[in-house]
Amino acid sequence: MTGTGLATVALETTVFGLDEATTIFLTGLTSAALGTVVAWTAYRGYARNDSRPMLFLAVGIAFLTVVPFVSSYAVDWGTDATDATVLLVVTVSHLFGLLAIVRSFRRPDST
Amino acid sequence: MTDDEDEEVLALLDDEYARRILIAASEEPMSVDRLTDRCDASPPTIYRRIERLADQGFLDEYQELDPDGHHYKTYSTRLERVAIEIAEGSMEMDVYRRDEDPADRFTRLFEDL
Repeated sequence: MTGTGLATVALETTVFGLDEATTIFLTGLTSAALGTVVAWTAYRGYARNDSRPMLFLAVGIAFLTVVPFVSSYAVDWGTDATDATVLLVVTVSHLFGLLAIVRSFRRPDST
Repeated sequence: MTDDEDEEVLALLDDEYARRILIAASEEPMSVDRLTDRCDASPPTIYRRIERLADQGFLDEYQELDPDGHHYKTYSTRLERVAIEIAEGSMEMDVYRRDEDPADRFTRLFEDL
């Protein structure tokens, strides 16, 4: 414990003694799992009600929650990319997600 | 539930066309055209009954888009069971409705934004 930073100490004491990397992974995994539920619900809403806005919303939520988590670990573990590259992948995914949600605001009956 | 609502539920169940709509739409979501066919009634009759049934939460509404880009609605039955209990000098009525699918509720909320 000696020599670790203040932030690490705080995390270790508040999150059941897990180290930072594990805590970040588990938090991200939880977000991704919840995001999957919401995105899947939106997708079923699209399929059941033939609602295009719900399709874009589902894609948007997936790119904001699931894709960043999966792709950041895939890039981090699968390639020798730098942290900046991982951050870029996450940011681009967020951008796609938000674009999809903005697109979902357009209603079929409005031109 | 107030007495007025009890009266309306009983009046609806007494109505032959309302019953036919509930029975037909319990199979799958149906448009007014299909309900008109199935219930052997005029469209205005069907529309009036649908409005009363929807007011009681007995029907779910879905927005559909046909290939020409026209919107139309389909309806499916939500009403599951009505229980009337008479005991000790009073009558109590319980109405059971099917839970709306979360995906449909999500869609309805998002489309109403």
